[in-house]
Amino acid sequence: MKLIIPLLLCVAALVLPPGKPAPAMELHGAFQNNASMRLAGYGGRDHDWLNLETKLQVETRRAFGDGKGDVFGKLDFNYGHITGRGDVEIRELYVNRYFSKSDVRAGKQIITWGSSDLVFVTDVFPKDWTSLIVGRPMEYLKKGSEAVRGQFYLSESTLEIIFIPTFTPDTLPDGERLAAYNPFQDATGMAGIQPPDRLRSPEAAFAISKTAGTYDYSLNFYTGRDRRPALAYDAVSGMVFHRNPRMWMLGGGFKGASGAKVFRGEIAYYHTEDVSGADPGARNASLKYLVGADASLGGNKSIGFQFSQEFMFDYGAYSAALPAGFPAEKKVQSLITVRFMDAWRYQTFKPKLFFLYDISGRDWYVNGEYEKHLNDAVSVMIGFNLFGGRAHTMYGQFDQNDNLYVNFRYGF
Amino acid sequence: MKLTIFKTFVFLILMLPALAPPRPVSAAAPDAEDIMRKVDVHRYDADDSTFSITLVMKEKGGDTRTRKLAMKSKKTGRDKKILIHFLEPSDVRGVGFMVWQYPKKDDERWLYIPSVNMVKRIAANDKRSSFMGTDFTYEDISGREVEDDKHKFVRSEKLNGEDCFVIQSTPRDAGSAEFAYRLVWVRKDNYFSVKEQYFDKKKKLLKVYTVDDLEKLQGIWTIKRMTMKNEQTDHSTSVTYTDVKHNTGIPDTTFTERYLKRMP
Repeated sequence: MKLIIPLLLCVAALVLPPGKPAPAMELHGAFQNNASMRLAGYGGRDHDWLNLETKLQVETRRAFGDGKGDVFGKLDFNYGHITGRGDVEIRELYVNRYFSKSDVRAGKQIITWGSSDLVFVTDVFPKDWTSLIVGRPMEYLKKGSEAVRGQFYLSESTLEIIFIPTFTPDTLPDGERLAAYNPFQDATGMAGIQPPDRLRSPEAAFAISKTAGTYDYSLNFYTGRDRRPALAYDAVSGMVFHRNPRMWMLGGGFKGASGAKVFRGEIAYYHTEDVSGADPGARNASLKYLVGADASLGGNKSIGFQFSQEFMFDYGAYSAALPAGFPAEKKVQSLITVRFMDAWRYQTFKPKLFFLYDISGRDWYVNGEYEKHLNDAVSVMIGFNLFGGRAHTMYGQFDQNDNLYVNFRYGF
Repeated sequence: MKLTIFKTFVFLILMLPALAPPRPVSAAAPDAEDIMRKVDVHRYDADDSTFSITLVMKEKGGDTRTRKLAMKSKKTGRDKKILIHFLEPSDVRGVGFMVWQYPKKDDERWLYIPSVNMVKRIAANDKRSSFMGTDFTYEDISGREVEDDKHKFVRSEKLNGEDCFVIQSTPRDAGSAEFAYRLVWVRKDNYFSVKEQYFDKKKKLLKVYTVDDLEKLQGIWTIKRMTMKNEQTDHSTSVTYTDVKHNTGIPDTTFTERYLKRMP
């Protein structure tokens, strides 16, 4: 069902006149391997593989109508060496149609708002957090949305309208191979109760953006569902039910250059179902903001800083409703991040270091990476992910997932 | 009579310099700054241009890496806008890079990363950093302003059969460039810089730029191939331009995020 829309659109695009001369279909891709080894023990296993998989990624594009549009597809053929199973994942599959003052893209596509670095404020679109934890290449943090997206170029600004008929939740650690905090240790099982049908949970999003001087500004609105699940324990059945409550977000952001530095910022209000704050398993309404700066340190060295805060509304109601013994979230969550990047030997060696510290939760996350391009086709990336903090905090809960990873890529 | 003889003698004495054969006089040295201003004009010959570019980076051991790009540029006065899309290798395919260059202030730069569909602004203060991992710096690509350097005529000589001026250009602010000075070979017939030698702070040869193929296309002198070689690391980058088109009337809207995200 989920592929009907992109497939129909792609077929429609393919039957359109190709123009003269008919452009050739482009075909590219890569063999990729991700091996991620746990540094500590978990669940009775020592130094086990967090992930061990091989992917064949195939990417194809064909233009039609003398530049009036194109069809793009990116498919991953995956084989998990731990599970012994293979699958095919459509990362992206869409058709673009270009008009004089607008562009329309329909199909499965990656949508990103804002330009924050691993701390998302206005970017409400789906993510795969397990990819980040096991050290897959950064592109796998983002998941595709099956959407129709129109961009309308007005005289001074751009209007973006997105309709997403099917809901895609975030992918989160399930507590099996990837450790994650489970507040319901005695639960007999877990089940999803909402949305029962992805087609009954449409999402819509609007943005208007404008460049003024050396800065780009945007105003964003999204209505749909919270991609992080709300949990509820049913004492009778002993089951934990998870659902994705409705929410809307109103936000905005800016990015731009002032002298030798780039400054950026985002702010967003999240209005959730639990506006009263009485459901401790669901997110309360909140206000988030982030400010960041990036600077070149000379040569290929660069550094980026971010500071972010999230204020929970109706904290009193949340605290009062929280069952005894449950760890409480902070009323204000404050984060700082630092990213350092360099490139040596004609950018064939690329060391990167990212550090995040949650001031309020006193937990942290460090990612280090060293990428070496052996030639045009082959690259190897060696990295580590370290998490620290208390067992129930945002990053501390992943402490037992500390890992070393290697990504190998052969592109064609 | 005696007076007449005397007058004639004085007249001849006074006229001697005029009657003597002309002495060889030294030719005035050409105005180096004027030459460099004529060289600078070539940066703005075309109103707009479209190129396909192949970058070949050659390492000391002979290994090569190749990048293929599609590039568009447009000038407005002395401001320039450039849009680049990476076509090869596959790991950077679709990456877009846009620069708005200003002669008197920092460039504005945007980077589009297709795998996450994100446009980032990137800091642009360091013109000395490597341009896409090549031997060229951002400044080598955009060019230095004539008044940023002191220029001195060194000599005239033939280079590859062409008469050239050799000009020494020394940055007025020593900290503003990666080199202490450079020697520039300027063709006398078209005022095109066809060779540049860069010397480091120890006056040791750092890198050499050569124009390997120069053609007049649509009435505009156009580089078809150029090379930058780092003499200290023995690493070089050659750039070949194909499918060159000038003055096709590229609209200003091409140099926006809309087209940065779109593969050519």
